Amino acid sequence: MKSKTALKIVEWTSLPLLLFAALYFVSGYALTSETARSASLIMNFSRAQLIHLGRAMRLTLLTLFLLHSYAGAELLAGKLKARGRSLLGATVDYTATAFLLYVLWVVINAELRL
Amino acid sequence: MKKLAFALLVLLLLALGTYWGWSGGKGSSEKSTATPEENTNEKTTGGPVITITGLVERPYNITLSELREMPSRKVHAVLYCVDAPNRPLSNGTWTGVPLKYLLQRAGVKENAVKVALYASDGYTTDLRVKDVLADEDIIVAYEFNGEPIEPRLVVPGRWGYKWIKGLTKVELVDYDFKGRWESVGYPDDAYIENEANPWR
Repeated sequence: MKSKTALKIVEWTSLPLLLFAALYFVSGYALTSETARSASLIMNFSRAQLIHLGRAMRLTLLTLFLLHSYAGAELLAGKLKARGRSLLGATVDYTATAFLLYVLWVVINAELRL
Repeated sequence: MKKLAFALLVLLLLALGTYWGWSGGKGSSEKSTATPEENTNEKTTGGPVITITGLVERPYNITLSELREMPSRKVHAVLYCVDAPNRPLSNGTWTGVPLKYLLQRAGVKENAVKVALYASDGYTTDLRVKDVLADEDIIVAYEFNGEPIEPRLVVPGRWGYKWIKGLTKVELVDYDFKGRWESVGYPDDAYIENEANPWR
């Protein structure tokens, strides 16, 4: 992936990721805590369920996470390689790829069985 | 190109690992994964199934066959699970004995406030005594759509975490007992606000 493309992906996914991750955390806490439901001002149990357990929300967050972190790792790896630290760059690159594939694998298997 | 080969290798390893995990799991846990419904025959002939205990005048044990002899009630109710509220898990007619009847048979002491319910797998949940005594539709079901099942609580209009299955013990207590999910913050009353559309 070209650095320019990776940078654009990181930039454009950052705000949606911020929004979705925040909603996911807040709804997750609201699902299991009365205090969190009150503190959130906007969550009740049904709404927390809808947001936290809905497939659309989950898959959107996952897509944003995969795009953002893969592009970010590519950027970091590219930077390391450009500075002459090729081995470390390659390690970051391949480790991130393997880890994200692992996440994707688990998700695909789980979603197919739901 | 090198990275694509690496990605394919990772996927291949994951697929192999998953396949081995599944085949290994199937062999070793075949016995333990039998559903409670599948163990029904064993329970129909076995000893005590449910213990009614705690703050009652006359604690007693009851077998499934004894349960079947008691005054029963048919309740049409839909079971909704919290993690999949958009589709009913079970929808049909449950036959069983009102929990109210079981408690009254034991004689509820005045200071009892909660009913603690225990399952054979360690799961717990709870109900308020006054709710149980006021609602005859809360039953300990032994049949679903005419098919025998292991004793399970049916609590119409409430989320599935109240519908404890494999019920083994009903204990009346004088404190605010909370079951497995209630104790981590799920609403204790568990009412489905809009049963026609639990998502909303």
